[in-house]
Amino acid sequence: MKRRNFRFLVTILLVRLTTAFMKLIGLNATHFPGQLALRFCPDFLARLEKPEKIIGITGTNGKTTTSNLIADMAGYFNLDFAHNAYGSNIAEGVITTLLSATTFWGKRRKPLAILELDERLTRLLFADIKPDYLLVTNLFRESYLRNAHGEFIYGILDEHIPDTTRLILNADDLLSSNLGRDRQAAYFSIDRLPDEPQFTHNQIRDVVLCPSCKQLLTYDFIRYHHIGQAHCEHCRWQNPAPDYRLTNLLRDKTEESSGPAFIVRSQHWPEGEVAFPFKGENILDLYNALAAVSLFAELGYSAADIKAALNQADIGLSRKEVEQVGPYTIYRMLSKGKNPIAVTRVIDSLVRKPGDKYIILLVDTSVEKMSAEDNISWIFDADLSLLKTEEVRQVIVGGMRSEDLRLALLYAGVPAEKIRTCRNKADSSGLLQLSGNPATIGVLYGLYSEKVSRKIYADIKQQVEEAEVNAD
Amino acid sequence: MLIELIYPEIANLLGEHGSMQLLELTFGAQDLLYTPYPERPRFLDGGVDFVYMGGMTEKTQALILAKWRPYASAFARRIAGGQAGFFAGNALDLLGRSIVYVDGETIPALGLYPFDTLCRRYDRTNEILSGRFRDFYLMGFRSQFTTQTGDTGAFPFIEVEYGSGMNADTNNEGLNDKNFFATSLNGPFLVLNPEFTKWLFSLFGYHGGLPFEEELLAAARIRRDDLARACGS
Repeated sequence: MKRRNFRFLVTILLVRLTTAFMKLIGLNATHFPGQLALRFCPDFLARLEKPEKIIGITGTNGKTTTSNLIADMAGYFNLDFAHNAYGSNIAEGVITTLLSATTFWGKRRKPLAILELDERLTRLLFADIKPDYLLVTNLFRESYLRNAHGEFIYGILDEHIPDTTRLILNADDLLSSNLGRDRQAAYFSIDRLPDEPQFTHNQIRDVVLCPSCKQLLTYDFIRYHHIGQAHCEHCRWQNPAPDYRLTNLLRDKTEESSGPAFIVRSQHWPEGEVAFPFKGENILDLYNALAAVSLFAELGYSAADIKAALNQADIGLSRKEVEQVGPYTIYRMLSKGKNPIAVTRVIDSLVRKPGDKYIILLVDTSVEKMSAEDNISWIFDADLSLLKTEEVRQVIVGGMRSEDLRLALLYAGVPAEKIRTCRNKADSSGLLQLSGNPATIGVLYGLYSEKVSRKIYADIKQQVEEAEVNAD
Repeated sequence: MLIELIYPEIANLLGEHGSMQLLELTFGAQDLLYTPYPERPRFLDGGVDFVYMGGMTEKTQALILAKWRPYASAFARRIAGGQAGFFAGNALDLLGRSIVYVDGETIPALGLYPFDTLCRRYDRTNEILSGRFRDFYLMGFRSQFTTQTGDTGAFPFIEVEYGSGMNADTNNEGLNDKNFFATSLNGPFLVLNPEFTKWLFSLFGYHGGLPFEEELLAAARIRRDDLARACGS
């Protein structure tokens, strides 16, 4: 860490006063203080005293949900920590968060920071922040404009992860699990569950060649994309052996738990095998919960304590809203635009619901004036063919590039008569034609469509309620 | 007809599935040949009407070039003989003299065309681009770490009217040599430019329609109007 200098002290004074003023007038001071600090003192992060222990969470998908879950569990353990739950995961947000963990003049105050870290910016962040533990959820294709491809992000992490950092890695991810080579690491994995097919068809599978010798891999099990089990016939490469192995998901009340639970086996626990409560809905929630369990186990907490912490925690509520209105279950789910994997996984989770489905896609990232943001390449990489089943009654697309999304849907095999489009996302709910039969309605929104997605969600609820009143 | 998709399992980045789906729906499974890595591309030995390749990771580029360098003269012969084909995204880089990483190694490429690809790992260019080739209005999206140096205008393809060319000093994007085309643009390019795509397919004797042609043309018109509005023209 660099020593604090005059410039740093003047900057922190300015930042503190600005933050206090922002709070006084009711503004969220989650990003701007960090931005201000960097403007006046570019090496501010290097000079700011850090907590004794730093836990970093990064990866393509699930890092916000997992970080929030970990913070929730840390709260149960009465840990005194700073966390960027409301701050951004880039330098500005991290500085803002760390400021809350220091005294007025930037000396250490809190012993722990739980930081969600943008995977691309770890290249810059790791120069000044050396996480003691780094949890990597997974690595996939994300925004083509920003992140290029998964292998590029892997390269950044591989080059910049500090030597002192202990990694918690997803052994099922054939890309990010390789970060553990020649590093201290613990791995988690989910066995093939009884209702899972051995292979799933996915448009994107970004790890086809052996990470070690670049010969073709042999897949033994594909959960989705490059999440699964594989081995190399040439050099004997295979997935790392998990330290925390989820062996089963119990969906009903059992002897071990009062509700759904997942069983984790670990040689680190005297019990050998432990049932943890599961409050999530799908495999993504399961990975997030297992990642959190693995992290706390690595921190030295007993399985019984982790179980108790998980029991009181909520998972994923910040990014999902579900409500039963009349015969319809309405989901409003974040599925980031420009991210084919995120959209595919959310669609997959919705089409697995029993009965009819209506899907509203608000994932187009374009705005009124056409720009590079209108690049719709990514949507052709999403598994839109999941929507071609009989049970999907309508697919509604809102946004300036909705006619391009229509093409992607048509090419994926979705019948033309089921697709409706509108250029203004706010008009999407007006295109919905519900049959009156029980069904799932999914509103998928990108980060910048959050506001309009709330409107659509409210419109649908109103439509359904009015239809029910009229029917009475 | 025989349409060859080269290494579709690894050369499919940046929306290339769209162009591949267009080829699949246009020609049907019976006419498509998927050549898996690391096999020698079939078109090098003749009998292929159209060859297509999409974008890939930088490590994949290096792996493919290691396999392909001995085929360079066969590539040149086929293209000179009128082979119809389209290489999209950074498949274009394979055809130049070299790929130069500013902070690292230089990888010799096939040396078919007089340009070098310069790669700055953290300097990503994203832009929307439009221009002309013959009477066709073309558009696409650029999302890359690279620029090309050398004689980038020797085999011109798109005369850029909005956006940038292969480097700051040229308004040419991509290359066209007889019936063979390549461009760094993604989009997916064949889907975004249906009128050009129909003409391209006619070069090897396909005169039928494109799948969902009406919708392709309608979407292209909207894109063109939106871009014209954005340019203020």
